[in-house]
Amino acid sequence: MEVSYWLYGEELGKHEGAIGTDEVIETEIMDQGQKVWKQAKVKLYHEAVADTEPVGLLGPFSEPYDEGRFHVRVIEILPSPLEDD
Amino acid sequence: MGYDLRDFVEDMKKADDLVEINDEVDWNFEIPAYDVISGRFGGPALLFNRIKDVPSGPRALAAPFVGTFYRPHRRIALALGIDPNLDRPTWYEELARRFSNMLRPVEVASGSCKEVVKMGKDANLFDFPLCYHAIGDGGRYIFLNATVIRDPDSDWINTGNYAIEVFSRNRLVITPYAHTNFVSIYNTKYQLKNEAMPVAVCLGGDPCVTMAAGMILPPGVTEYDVAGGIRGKPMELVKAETSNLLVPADAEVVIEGEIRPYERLPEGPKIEAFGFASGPRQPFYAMRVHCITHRKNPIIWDIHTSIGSSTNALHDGVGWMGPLGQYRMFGLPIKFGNTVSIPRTGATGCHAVIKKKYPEDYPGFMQDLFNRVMGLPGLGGVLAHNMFCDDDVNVLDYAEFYEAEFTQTNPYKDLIKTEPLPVMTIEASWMETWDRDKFAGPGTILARKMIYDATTKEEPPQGVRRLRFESLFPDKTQEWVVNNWQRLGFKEEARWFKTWIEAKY
Repeated sequence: MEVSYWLYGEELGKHEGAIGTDEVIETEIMDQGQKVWKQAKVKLYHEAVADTEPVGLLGPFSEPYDEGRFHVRVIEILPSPLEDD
Repeated sequence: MGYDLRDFVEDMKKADDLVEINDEVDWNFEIPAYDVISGRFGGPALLFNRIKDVPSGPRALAAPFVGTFYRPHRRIALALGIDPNLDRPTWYEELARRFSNMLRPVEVASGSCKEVVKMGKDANLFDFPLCYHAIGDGGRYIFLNATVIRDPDSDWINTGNYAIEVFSRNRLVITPYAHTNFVSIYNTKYQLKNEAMPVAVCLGGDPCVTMAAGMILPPGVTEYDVAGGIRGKPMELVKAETSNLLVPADAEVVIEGEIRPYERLPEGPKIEAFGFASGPRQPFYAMRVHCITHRKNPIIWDIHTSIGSSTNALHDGVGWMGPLGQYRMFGLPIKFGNTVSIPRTGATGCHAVIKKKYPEDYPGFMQDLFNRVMGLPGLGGVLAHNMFCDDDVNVLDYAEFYEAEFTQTNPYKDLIKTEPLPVMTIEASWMETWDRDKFAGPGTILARKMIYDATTKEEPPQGVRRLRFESLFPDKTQEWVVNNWQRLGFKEEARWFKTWIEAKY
């Protein structure tokens, strides 16, 4: 399945309680359009709801799994690290 | 004007070895996929003229060094101005000869790499077709480059070829191995003084520079000098825009910036020459990009890691020139070494040991040699498997390599597994699963190394030591067969290892 973002399964696991609750969490997501990791404020869902996009999960060595099992609504893309000049 | 990447493209066209593609392709998987599929059959290089989402102008050259099984160096030779039809031993002998005649570069006032200059916020890495290579990669990567730094205390300019992740529009993450001169210079000459190190990542220009950058050379050797020796003409360099670094005047793209003390960004994982994507994401050297200069319509060359692809050809074609230089510099009694990279389950070093008499030159000879090889930067110390065989075994030929491995080793005593030793995190593909949680600090990831001692321990009872063409028949007979082979109608090449046996490395 085509996904818009990847995120580490371990990261998702840390925020398991927030999935589907509309709680905003801060995590790193990989934008599949640019293939760049971005720090972002997001909401996580078990299924597609309005303004969400499918995500895929990555194992510790970036092995993809569970593509499309979760969905994400990106609230804000945060500045990249070291973007201070 | 010297030979540059565009001359190489023209030479490949003339040799009917390049396909130009005007259909739009994507930097995201598609260009690398073409590279890999071309590698499967020793296919052509590919020049892509239209790339999705990239402003018009930049082009992409994929599969530039795809070689053949017996001549992995074939197209590298073309790029370096050497006969592509040389057999492997003769190729290495010729390369070694040129390597020994280093020529210092010359500084010129300007060069075509300055045709377009973009400073500060105008410098955007996403303007170029830097590719995304494989499922699971941590980002887009630059795999073929000459990354230039300078020793501030001498005239030593260091150039290396590293995997570089594109972290954002103006940040790169450079991933030199821990044993490299890059790391040594950065740590001891800049970071310890709390100073930023200027860096220039150069794409294109004379392929000799990039090839020399890929060799693991001893400290103090300037790769530009080696490149001049290979080309037989000094490299032309021009001053960078934002530092005192010297860069190839006719590079396609020069990305200038700095690495500040203690600044790291997460990098990886990525496809690797060790066989698999290795990782996980871990901190590496963060480069702040301040300026990008480039030629008009620059050609961005790209390579891929897979069996038969360009990285494979680079490993097999030029990779061991650096170790060969080290063998000579440190006087090791080794004729040659080769990375057996077909079974990439951890790169294997194969060393042809020069021994004058058997069983040993002196008691402990092999132990001494093993210790010295393991201690050399970029050699045994970083390889999972090291095989030592006699110097008449052609380690450039896989069949000979395996013949020696399986006939000259007694599994009881000649296959030696070391105690666990610290290894590079990049070798994650063959480390134990329980090591994967130990990325926290140096020396925490341990793995055993395998040593195959396939040298002859005692004289065999009969005269013929190897059952092969070169040792079974008189020289005259060998010559007659080889010289008449084609005349008799055989299409396959008669591969004669005479050149290896007679080679003086």
